[in-house]
Amino acid sequence: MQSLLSSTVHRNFNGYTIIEAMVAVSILMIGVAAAAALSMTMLTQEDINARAARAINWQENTLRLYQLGLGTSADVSEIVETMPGLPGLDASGLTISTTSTDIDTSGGSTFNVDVSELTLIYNSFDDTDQNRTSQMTVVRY
Amino acid sequence: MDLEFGVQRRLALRNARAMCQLYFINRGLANSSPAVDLDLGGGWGKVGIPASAENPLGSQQEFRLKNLLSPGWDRGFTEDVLATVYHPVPYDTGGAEVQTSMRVQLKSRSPLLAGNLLILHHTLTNSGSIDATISGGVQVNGHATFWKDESFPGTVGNLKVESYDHSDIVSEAIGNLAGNHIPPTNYPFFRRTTGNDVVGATGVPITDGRFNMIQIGTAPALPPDPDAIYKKNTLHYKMTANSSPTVVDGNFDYTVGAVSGDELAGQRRITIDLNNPAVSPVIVNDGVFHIRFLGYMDSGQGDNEPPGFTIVRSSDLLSVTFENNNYRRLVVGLQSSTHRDVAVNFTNAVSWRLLLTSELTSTTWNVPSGSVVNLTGGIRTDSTVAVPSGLLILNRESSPNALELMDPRESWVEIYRN
Repeated sequence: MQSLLSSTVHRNFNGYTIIEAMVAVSILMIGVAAAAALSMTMLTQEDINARAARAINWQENTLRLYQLGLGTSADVSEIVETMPGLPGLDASGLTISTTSTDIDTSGGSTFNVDVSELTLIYNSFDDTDQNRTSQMTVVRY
Repeated sequence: MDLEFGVQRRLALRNARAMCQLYFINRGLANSSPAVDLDLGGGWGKVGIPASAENPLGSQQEFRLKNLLSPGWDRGFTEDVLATVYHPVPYDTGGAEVQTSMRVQLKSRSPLLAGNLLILHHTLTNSGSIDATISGGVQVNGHATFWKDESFPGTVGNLKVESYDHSDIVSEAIGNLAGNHIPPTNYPFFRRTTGNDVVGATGVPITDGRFNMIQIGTAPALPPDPDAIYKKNTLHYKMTANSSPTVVDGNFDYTVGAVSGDELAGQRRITIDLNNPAVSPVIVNDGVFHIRFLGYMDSGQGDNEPPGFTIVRSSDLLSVTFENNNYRRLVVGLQSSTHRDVAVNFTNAVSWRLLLTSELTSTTWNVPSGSVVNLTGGIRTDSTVAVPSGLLILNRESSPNALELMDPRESWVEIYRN
């Protein structure tokens, strides 16, 4: 009898009820689900960052080439056409304007320079509603 | 956002450098520069330039100096200016700026373009661009530079050069002395010429590859102020600054010093004898149809004589003839108010020292068929150079005292982080 009692007590201290197990699994699943969701968010953010980095790098390179003298002084479209494409970017995503601008020299006179503004509207995610706009300005040598 | 701030900072720095460079190229011939702030706005570039008291492209003007046309006051380095670049502080809404100092070195000699013997400038007239070409047998034992418009590719024919550079995109190949195609020595460079043109009575900077360096102003009279700074860096000003020129026109029928006038087939001809020690600057105006140069033939004494100067501002000129060999430095400027062609003939001549500048004047070099004519000096033009027969070879001066005679229009600005 004593041994049977001892055996029963031992089982009660070393086991879990089904309720305990379900609670534990639920907590674990919440953590796993949160980690999975965070991972997906990070992947999405990384994709967005990569697209932004490519777009801005592409834009900067285009303007830099224009600044150094490639292309006509009328616009930078010739350079744009030679640059590799960007996902989610088409011709409608570009706004190019080149102007001859007088800069005030603060000395009463003006100084004329050739200024190009390149506005790039690019799709930052696989969703056409997720467009971002980047505008850059350069002076041509 | 940080990435965009970084890109904006880089571009703003480049824009500041570009504005700084353009500002000084525009003022390459100015006596001095006032202190200015150039601000592109929006944080895309702002630079503060202090006042400068130097004329970067000023030249020595002493007539009898050997290095007569040396630019930059005969120095490689002319002036250092410390410019300040202003950057906006990211995320600061109060307009705070940080400052970076840049050292701007204004030079008048381009190391890239050193040794230029043939320079083809951009041509732009009231009627538009002219398709100036180099055709026939032309060989350049040195460097060639093309400032011409990219809309006229394929115009150098069989030109042979040691090396060359080109502004704008070029879609043609140029051969080396062995006839093998070679690439330019560098990427196409942006036009960095400097100079002035006259609008009304005021000098305005031109930096697009054109040049206007023989005489600025309405021919034949000078504008009211001949000492205006925009006229000082011209052949006309330099050769007349310290010497009285001999001025000839269609009525010149005399002999004055080394210059004499007669008629050739009923047309006025001027003969300039470079053997005459009294040769002075000669200005040839309308009414003269032919010019004949008699070469200085003592090959060992040429450097001991001052250079001969002749400027032709005639729309009537038909031909220039070089007789015998010439070992004396000769600076010739051909200028026309409207584009025209001039025949260049050789009589008993195989070697000539000649520094030719021709504006709106195309030249056809009538080298005898199968013959070679060596020019020591160079050609700077905005018009066509044609050699229909024979071979015209351009050589560089061998004496250091005679180098760098070609009056430049290339300015050189170097900018470093201070």
